[in-house]
Amino acid sequence: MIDRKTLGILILLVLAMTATAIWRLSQLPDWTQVTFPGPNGARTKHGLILFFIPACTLFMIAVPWAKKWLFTGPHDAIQAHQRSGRLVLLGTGAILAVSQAFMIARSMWLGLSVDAQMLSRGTLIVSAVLVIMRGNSLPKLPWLSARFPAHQLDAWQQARIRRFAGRLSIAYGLAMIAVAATLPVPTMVVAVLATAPAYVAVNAWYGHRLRREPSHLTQA
Amino acid sequence: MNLVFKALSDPTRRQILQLLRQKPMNAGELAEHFPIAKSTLSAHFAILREADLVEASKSGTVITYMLKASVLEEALLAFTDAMGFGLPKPMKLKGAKREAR
Repeated sequence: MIDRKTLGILILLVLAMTATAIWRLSQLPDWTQVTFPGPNGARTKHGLILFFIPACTLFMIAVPWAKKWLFTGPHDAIQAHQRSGRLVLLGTGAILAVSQAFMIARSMWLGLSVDAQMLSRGTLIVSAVLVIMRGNSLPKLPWLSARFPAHQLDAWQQARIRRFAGRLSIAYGLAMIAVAATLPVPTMVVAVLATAPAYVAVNAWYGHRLRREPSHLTQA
Repeated sequence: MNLVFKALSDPTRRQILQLLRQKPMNAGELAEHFPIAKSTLSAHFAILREADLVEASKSGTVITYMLKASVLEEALLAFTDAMGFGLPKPMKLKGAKREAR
């Protein structure tokens, strides 16, 4: 869930990131080709790569926005969900903004003294800490009613899925830290991107399993 | 966090939380597991609610309790349970010998 203030801040970030990407491309003789400094000289990438991070930020906004549409509940419960997600959303937004600034600077062959690998590892570790914090607070969130009956879970089932998701998030966050500390950067990126859908799938499977179980609340 | 430590320091409250990990229960169902007065049990529920470890929902005259602990709080619960915090200390050897006599 996302509140208006957080949504406004993130949309401003997306606009700023998109504007810098357009500005950078407007300076190039051929907008389809951007060169970055690499360990073995220049590497050429398609110009659209500068829009990758703003697109990621938009996706990040879309997920809690969709959740706001899919679930409903008392005002207090919705506010609790919004408060809980605010830090992660703003923290991730800030990480993405720094990454975009770094990418633009590198496309201009600036900031060469900054160790890109260390920055990537640091970024992943900060993201992992945010995932762990979010995971820890998930079981505390109040029950919300789903708009579609197929997604409906009672309070106990939702509490169980949040506990499961919380533990999984913490395990995932710790794994991200281990990956950031040990693996080479390209492998690290692949490992994180490959396991993220698995994380979503496992949560979805657990929710599906819970829906087939009888409710304890009706028996209590 | 002090409230959480206070709540987890008592073995009865930890046992309540362990029972609530399995399923939500009402006060009567929980009382069946403890040989203590209902008023004492109510005081334990109040401490657990104050620490935000359980959620109480009232339906008619029945209050149903549900676990509301964060992952870290659950880990603390497992740790304090494993360490046996708040349990009566075992008798010293000297005293035990005297008891045996």
